[in-house]
Amino acid sequence: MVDKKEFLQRSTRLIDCLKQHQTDSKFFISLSEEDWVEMVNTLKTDRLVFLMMWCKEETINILFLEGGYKPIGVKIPVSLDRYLALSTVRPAAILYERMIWELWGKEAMNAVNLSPWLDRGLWKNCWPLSKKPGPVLWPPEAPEYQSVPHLVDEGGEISLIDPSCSCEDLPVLWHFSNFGERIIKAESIYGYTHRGVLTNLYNKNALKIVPIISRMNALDSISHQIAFSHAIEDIAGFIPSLSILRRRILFLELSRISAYLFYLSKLFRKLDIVLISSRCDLARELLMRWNLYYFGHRWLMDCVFPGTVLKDERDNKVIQLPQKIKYLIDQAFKLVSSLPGLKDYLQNKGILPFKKAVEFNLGGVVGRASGRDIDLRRYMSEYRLEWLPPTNFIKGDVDARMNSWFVEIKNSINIVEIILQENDIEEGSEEVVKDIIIESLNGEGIGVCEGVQGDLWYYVYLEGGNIKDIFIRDPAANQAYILQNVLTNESIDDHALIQSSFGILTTGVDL
Amino acid sequence: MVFIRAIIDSLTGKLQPLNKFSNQTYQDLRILHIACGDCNGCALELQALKGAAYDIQESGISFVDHPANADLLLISGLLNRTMVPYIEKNWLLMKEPKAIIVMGTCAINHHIFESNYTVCENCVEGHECILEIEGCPPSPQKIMKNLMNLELNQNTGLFLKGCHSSSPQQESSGHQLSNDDNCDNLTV
Repeated sequence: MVDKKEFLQRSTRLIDCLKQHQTDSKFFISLSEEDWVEMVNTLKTDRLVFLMMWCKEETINILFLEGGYKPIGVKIPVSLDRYLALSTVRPAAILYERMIWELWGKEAMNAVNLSPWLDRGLWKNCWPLSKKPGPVLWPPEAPEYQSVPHLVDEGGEISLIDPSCSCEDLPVLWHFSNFGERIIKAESIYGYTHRGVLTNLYNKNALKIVPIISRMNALDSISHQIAFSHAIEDIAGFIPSLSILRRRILFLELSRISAYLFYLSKLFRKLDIVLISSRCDLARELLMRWNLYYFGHRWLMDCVFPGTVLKDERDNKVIQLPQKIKYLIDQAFKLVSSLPGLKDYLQNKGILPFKKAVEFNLGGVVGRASGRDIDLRRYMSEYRLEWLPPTNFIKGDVDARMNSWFVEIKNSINIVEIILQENDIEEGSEEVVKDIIIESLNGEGIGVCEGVQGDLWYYVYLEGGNIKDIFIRDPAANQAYILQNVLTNESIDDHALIQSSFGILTTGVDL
Repeated sequence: MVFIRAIIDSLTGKLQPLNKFSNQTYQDLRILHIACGDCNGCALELQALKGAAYDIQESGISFVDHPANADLLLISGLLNRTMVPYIEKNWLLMKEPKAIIVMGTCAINHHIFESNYTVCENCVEGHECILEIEGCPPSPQKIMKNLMNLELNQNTGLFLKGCHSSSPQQESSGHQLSNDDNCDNLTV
């Protein structure tokens, strides 16, 4: 029997060791190469959660989460463009190591996988974000697939989905190795919607890039805006007023409802159940028109700024959500519950085990449907705990994810209604107007928001209000990676269905 | 009996004349959509068009997933180098007459984005580009209005803009939501 106190001490040992080092900045501790090797070895037996990593000149910045929510970072030096890989002990780092290799040209030694993640044969030897970027290759080289040995000789097949012919799905190249209907290996190749947004953000005024931040991912636009604003407010030491925070929750929950309705509609279209998908489509369209009417944009882009939010476009105040939206969602849910055979069909398909969800630090509906009860809204001061009930799904299959979307839509509607009612009461109180002077800001900040796909993090470093370093951790990236494993041993016919149940959009992965 | 049925069908509009360019009897404009470096806004607005709220397929415009079946190539998002070979491949596979539609401000003029190692300096332009749908992202109503204005000229094989007259079928095409952006007209 392990003593609880002793166990807790052991589990936080690495954090204590890290804190003994001299801090380099607000979040980061500088480690020597020897310290980093020791830390990687210690991580094998430690529970410190990996969040994200990126490169800044000749250092690798790595962020971990203390206690699952508090960021703490380490900076490790790169000698001869190499550093010791983290993916051997934290599989969630695989993607980031691949990105660092192809964008900055820093190689992770002993890495699990260093094949390109975003590069589709264009900048194989020139590393576009390095100090001396070279010209891109043209025409691009064809992608290399991870083939299964002797597959065709033994009667297997290889099938390919072209990124330009994926019709409803956004550009991704899928490469399947299958025996009959059974998928032996699924490989997704992303990067087709990569826009190199990081280069568009460097050395720009933090306020002027808000429109770009709004357009990182249309479906999750509000989360990006809020997370970025949080990061800037963190640098400024600014706490927005209650009404601003409440307005942000309103936007965030509206965007969540809209996104989940889109995912549900897509899922039921794949199942050819038009009865339900049509109700989701109509409810979503009504909601988007409602957004346009009251807030001036269907997708709520350019609505949140550092320190403030957009006020109502119209003179008449938002009073309540249209009843028709709730009615349509209720109808869709009733149809799902009463449709014979639907639950049996969706159960045990596309199972994401709890262990994998933890390994890859998956949150959002995908993680919660697998029993990982992580919701960063609980740590966001603007939310009340009673608004966010615990999740009850553990199976991690398509059915769990679908039901989870319905439950969260209803929960979000409740939150929106509470906020709208409270806005009514608080209207009379006057607030002191405070501003952030962006040009005077120096330092680093981290912002977080629980978006539609999970926890979205921004790291921003400013000098005189200009962006000197920025990195975005979009939860869709790791979900896209794990989807390849989930599809193994599933039927090829169910590929589109399982993919829809993850709700991944390429923009979130590619950036 | 068959002849009588054919005459009645042709009178009531069920039977449509042969399109001499595509050798098909239907007159739908068939569109192949390729998303490049977009924020997914344009792509999702197009999906909304296909959904129950608009059901654009009933209005004589259909979306196809193979270039051989397409009349129009719709490109959304920033033109990035990775997608250029795929756009070229699909364009070559399309039969004549064919044309390009560009959708979204970032596809038309880069909007707030800049060209870099992955985004091309030039945007899609030229005489094949017959329509630019502005907006960030354009609303489904706007896309629909622009697409409905397109028509294939039977004599020249060129796509024309702004000469489309709505047929009785289009008027009763089951648009369950009003085309007005105004929230007051939200009716299902």
